[in-house]
Amino acid sequence: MEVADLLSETCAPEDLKVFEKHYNEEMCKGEVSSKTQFEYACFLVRSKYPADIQRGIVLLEELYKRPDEGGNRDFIYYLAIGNARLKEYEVALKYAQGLLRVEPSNRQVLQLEKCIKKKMEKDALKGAAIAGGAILGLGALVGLGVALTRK
Amino acid sequence: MVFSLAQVPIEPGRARSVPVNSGQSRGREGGTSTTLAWPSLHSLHIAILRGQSSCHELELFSIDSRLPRLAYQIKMSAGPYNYSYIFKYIIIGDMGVGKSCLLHQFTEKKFMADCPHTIGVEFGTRIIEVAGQKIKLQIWDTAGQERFRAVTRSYYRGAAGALMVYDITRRSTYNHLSSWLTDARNLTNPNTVIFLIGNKADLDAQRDVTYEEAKQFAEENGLMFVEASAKTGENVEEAFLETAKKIYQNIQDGSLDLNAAESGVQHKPTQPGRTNLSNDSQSSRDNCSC
Repeated sequence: MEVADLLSETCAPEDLKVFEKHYNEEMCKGEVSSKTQFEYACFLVRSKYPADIQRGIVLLEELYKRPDEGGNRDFIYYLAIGNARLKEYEVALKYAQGLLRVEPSNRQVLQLEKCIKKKMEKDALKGAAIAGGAILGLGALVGLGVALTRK
Repeated sequence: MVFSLAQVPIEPGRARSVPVNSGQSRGREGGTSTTLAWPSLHSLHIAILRGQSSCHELELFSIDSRLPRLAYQIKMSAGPYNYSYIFKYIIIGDMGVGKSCLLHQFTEKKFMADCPHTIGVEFGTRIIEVAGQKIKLQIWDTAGQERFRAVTRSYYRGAAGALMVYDITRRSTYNHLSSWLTDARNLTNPNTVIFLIGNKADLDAQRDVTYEEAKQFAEENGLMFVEASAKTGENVEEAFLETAKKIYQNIQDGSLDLNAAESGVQHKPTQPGRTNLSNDSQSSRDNCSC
């Protein structure tokens, strides 16, 4: 079982537009229902654009603060996904682990946690690779410089 | 060599171009690598960097061309494929009918006694064999709660198979099938194989829906049907495999067009150059997966 795709799959832009429209319509009328806001936020965090994901996170945080909300675990789960997609792994892990405190054996959340950790490691590896590449490049330049000076 | 290395876009967020390495990817599919001529140390770095940078490029690319999100999982850079096709499945049905348990039984061969409600969608994969061909099933298990209906609908697109589940001990879950079927028909393509599963067959004493009426419903609507039990594992394997066989059959007799963007099937390109751009981009994107 893999959660990888949940962190990399994206929603269709036309879907996002539909839910954006719902949200804006309700906004114009003065009050956005939790359902509309949640749906819009779910699509936002699956957008390919970081700015959309960020906006989705803001909307989810707002939902979470609303009194008498029944969907808190859903909001937190999507907050974990949104943050992971923005590479805010530490924050994402905090949300996932918060969920696990309430539901320690929730397989879906355990998988998400595992995947965030994997992504973290992968990013660290990438950092090392970039550093390695930079050193190689630098070495070559120095070598070239030395060779030229000798000539 | 060193400068080539530096030219590889190393900051994924800034890699906004259409992938320039699709040709090289194709080479790798064919079992050869264009980086072969390079010293091994450098090739290694290139492979890592390229894998990660192409993620983002391809993400943008696949969105723009409205490709279906159905085949992100091919481990292309990890050597030769060990499967020939990817089939995308969705599992749909009312809350609490056992969709996640069926998936878990199928992928892990275990029964989860205490399964919380799925949030949004869950994802699972397993490689199976049909007619000597290895096929990777990529399964999207959707939340049954009404509050997620809008979110889960967006996963129907491009599914090759849909498992529609009800609970034989709860009549209401059976009565709602027509609504699930309408969604499945409207949001998938005409060739999508829809398989009806009456779950919790182990609870025969509490049965609320007879086998016969469900069978008739399935026949009237052209669905495949079994009663299964995620608890005992009875017929679980069969449901997933029969769906795959039917999809495979549709491919063989030509009724399922693999080039159609929403077919829900991805074929492993066997020869360099045979694949089209969309296959390429989807495949390469799999470098993202962990």
